Amino acid sequence: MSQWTQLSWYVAIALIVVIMGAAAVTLWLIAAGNINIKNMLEEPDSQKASLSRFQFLIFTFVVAGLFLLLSIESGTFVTVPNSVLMLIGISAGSYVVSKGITAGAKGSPATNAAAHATAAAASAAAAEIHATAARAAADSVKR
Amino acid sequence: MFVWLVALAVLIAWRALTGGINLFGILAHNEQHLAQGRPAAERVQLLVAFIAAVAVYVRDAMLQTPDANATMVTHLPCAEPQLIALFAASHGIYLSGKIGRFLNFGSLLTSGRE
Repeated sequence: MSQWTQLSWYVAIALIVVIMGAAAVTLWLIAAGNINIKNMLEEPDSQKASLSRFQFLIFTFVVAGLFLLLSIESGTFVTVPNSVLMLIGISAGSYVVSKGITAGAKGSPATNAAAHATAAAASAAAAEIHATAARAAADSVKR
Repeated sequence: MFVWLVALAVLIAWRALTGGINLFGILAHNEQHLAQGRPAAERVQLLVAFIAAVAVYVRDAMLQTPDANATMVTHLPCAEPQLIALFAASHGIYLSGKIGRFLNFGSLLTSGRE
């Protein structure tokens, strides 16, 4: 074994020890309550748990768990198909759009005014249709 | 590393089941809706579709066999197109409801009935 190969082994083992050590310490701190995970599913400005965050949490464990399990079993890194990335993308895209709508609803007066103007215009159109229908009905009764 | 991931998952599941992680109001649109005390239909269907999709995918992964020329599994299983369609439709319903509420379609429908 050459000197460089031997050195790379030492570095790899040292890296594994550091990563595993950090992982073990993190797990211990969570278990001991020194890392507070009580509010991990809440949005910053809300006391209510978020369904999107819950989905991300489950997805992460499922995909990472299966990836690790199959990689260990086969002895090499397994590939992640596009369809799985698509599932994660749908979930992430939905989260982003959802937060955009929420921010828009809470956000700028201009956005709210635009939304209310759209709703008012649609409401006026509906009222107009109703009035037309009522006039037509009244005409037919007169006849 | 796999043992660590499983331990973390068990710890988080335990905390979630015993109230150590706040899951309060996960099926409500907002605080006002939460006060009414009933779950939102869009969120319930999204949660059910999500759990079903994850369960089906994990089952497929567990039952996966190696390709013809390989001795071991070399990739995660592909998600079925039906599964992707179900998932996308479920998110579509959820977002439609949210957009509808944002554009105030509820009051529009009410005013239409008056």
